[in-house]
Amino acid sequence: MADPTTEARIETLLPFREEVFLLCLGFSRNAVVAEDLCQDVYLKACRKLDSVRHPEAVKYWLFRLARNVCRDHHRRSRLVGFDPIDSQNEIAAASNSGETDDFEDRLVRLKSSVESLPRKLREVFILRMYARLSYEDLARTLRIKEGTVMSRLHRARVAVARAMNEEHHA
Amino acid sequence: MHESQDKKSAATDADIEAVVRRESEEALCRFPSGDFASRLKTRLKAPLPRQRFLLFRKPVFAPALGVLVAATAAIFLLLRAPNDGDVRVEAGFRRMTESLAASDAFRVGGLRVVSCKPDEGRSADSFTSALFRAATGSDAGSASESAAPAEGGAPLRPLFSPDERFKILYGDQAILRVLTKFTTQKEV
Repeated sequence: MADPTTEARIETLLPFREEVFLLCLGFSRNAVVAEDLCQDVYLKACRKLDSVRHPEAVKYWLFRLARNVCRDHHRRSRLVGFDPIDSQNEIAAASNSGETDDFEDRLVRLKSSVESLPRKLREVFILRMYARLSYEDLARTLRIKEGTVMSRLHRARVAVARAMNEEHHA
Repeated sequence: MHESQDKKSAATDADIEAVVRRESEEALCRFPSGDFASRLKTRLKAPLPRQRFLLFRKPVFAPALGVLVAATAAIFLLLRAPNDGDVRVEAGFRRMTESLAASDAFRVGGLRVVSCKPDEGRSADSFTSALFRAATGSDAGSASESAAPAEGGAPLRPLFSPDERFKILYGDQAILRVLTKFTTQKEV
């Protein structure tokens, strides 16, 4: 049985677990990895929750933490140089057009398009499209203005759409 | 052209939304909601991983180590610096003559010192003699006159021991120190 402080911390943070999981999914492009990352995020958050001064800022702090954990994971995985098995299967399935449906094909194209975005655009895109954060939440999480959020999101959408079209025609 | 591109882009936007929504929903279905909290509690109860480099995690040790390294380096340099011979003496000598040459005359301890400009290559002994003459006022002539021993006169006895002369050769501060010593000697 965890001590009362830990219980209270988990209770404070648990309502945001779906957003955090989806955010991790957007960054990792793999559901299993996303679940592990989500656990890591919550583990760190429970241990460092005391560092948050304002209780109303916990949500944004948690999303920032999640983004940083995902970014670290991305960096590490690039250094080690491995790809999740699922994504390899997806690529293989996508190349075999006779056996895959349209959704799988679009999913693979979407993931590679998102991956090719610049970091700032990718973050906004994932936080908005996957974690479904509002513009205000996005702005407070990333500590930028709402106008900047909208501008980056627009650019990200256009870039993703263009990349997906190019891949489709290629 | 633009219109068709816009339509295409709009269609792709909808595609993006649909793909992301479906992917998220499928992933959320597999995401264990109840299991998540219990797994988290189990992991939180586990001890933290052992911290490596404990020594450097304490805020005291790193500065202490820095001070130790700096002190060792300073001691090493101090032990290594002196006594590397004539080159250093020669350089000091040149520095002193240059500083004397820069001012025509100056007073130290109530004694007038005229400028002495020993030629290049003149020994430290002759320069010290010139300095002695100038300081006592026995020869208040020009630099070249004062630097050379008086013809037919008694040879000037060395004023300073070799060790003291060595001190002379170390810059302006050393000159003042030596002259002050000379003044005391004169008074006695």
